[in-house]
Amino acid sequence: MQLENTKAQLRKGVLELCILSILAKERKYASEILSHLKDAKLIVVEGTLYPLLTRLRSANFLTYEWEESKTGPPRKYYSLTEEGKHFLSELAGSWNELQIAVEQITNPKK
Amino acid sequence: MNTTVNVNLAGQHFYFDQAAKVKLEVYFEEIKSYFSDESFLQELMTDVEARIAELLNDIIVDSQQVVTMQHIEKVMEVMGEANSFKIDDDKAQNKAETKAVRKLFRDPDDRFLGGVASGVSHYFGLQVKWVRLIWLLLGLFSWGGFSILYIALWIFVPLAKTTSEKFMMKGQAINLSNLEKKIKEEFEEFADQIKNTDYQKAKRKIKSKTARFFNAVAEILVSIFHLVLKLLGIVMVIAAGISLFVIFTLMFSIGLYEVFDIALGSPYWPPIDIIHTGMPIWQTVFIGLVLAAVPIVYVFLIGRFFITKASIGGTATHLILLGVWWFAVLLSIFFGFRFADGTVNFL
Repeated sequence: MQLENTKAQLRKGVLELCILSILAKERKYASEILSHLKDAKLIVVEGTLYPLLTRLRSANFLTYEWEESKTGPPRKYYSLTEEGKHFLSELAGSWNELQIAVEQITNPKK
Repeated sequence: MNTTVNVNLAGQHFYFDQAAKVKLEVYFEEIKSYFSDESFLQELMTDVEARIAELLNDIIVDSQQVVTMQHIEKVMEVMGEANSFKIDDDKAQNKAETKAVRKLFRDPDDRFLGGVASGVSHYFGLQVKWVRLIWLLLGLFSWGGFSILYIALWIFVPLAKTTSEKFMMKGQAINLSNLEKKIKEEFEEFADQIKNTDYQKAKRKIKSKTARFFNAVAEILVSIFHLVLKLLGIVMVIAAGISLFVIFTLMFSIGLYEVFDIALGSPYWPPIDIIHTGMPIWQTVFIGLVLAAVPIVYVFLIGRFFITKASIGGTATHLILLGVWWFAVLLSIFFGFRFADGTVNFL
């Protein structure tokens, strides 16, 4: 078992939650989402993001619209659907539970 | 010296180094292999392609610059190795095998003349020596007739130039493990060659002498064949052109006869008025001429193909031509019966 692998698994588990949270505030295109995730050091390479975006899209949690950009080709702006918002609140709920559970176990208070 | 190829990424044009193209192809194939069952595969690949095009545009200085291995490696640094696309690790484990496509190519690495025999042997999964033996027997027993088929295969079967074409030729899936295997094989072959240099040199000398002689003969035969085809094409185009001109002239002149009542009282030439179908003569004639014209149009198109290698025509052209022709056939059958059962009569 490799440390890097386990770390990557841990990150991937929460990536969907994070992507949905980023889009909950406002619609964004892939590179903007990327820079948020990179700033938070959640992902290192871009390749990880694209399958998650298309999977969330095909599960109807996300929707997108094309918009012209001043520099370069048109951009795909993603935003949450109603289903996506519901899914996010469910995920956020279980994340909180998980956080408390992990905290309890890793830092047991006497 | 390297070959460059044209690559279209998300609708944008790039010049790629051969090796860079293979590298990117393998990358795409591996990514696809992780999502081959997913409904969003197409959407994902479009997004990834668009992003890579964007990255390449940032990296290269101008659109004329050739994309090389270094550029692709830079892109892959940003995008990550193909396995960083994997969402569910356990699910994607056994997906590395992509579906193999097998296509007929001529093999440039194992050729005696045109590489046709080795290409055919890859296609059917036979050993090349058996195919060559069959060739020889066919050549002897068909009194040379087989050589025409061989030359035709030589002309019409493309040479496997790229690594991915070589994979297709052998019916192997294009993926990372196969590519690694291939590169390893080539390296070992190279190492072997260095070991047996003298032996190889001697062998190559013998083979290249015979091969050179046959190649020269074959090239002459091929160019004669092309020349004959071209001449035939020119004859076909001219003959068909003249026939079509005559047919159209007839259509118009016979139509005008009737419209202006010129022919009343005077005999027709050609004497088409002996056939009375119960409709205006120009229509009868028109159907007859369409029957003749469509095959002649095909003679023209095939002749033109022999000369210029231009396409024989798209699906729409064929549908229209054949549709009109069948309509004319049906109409003439219909009027043929009416003529035969006496509904309409001779004048």
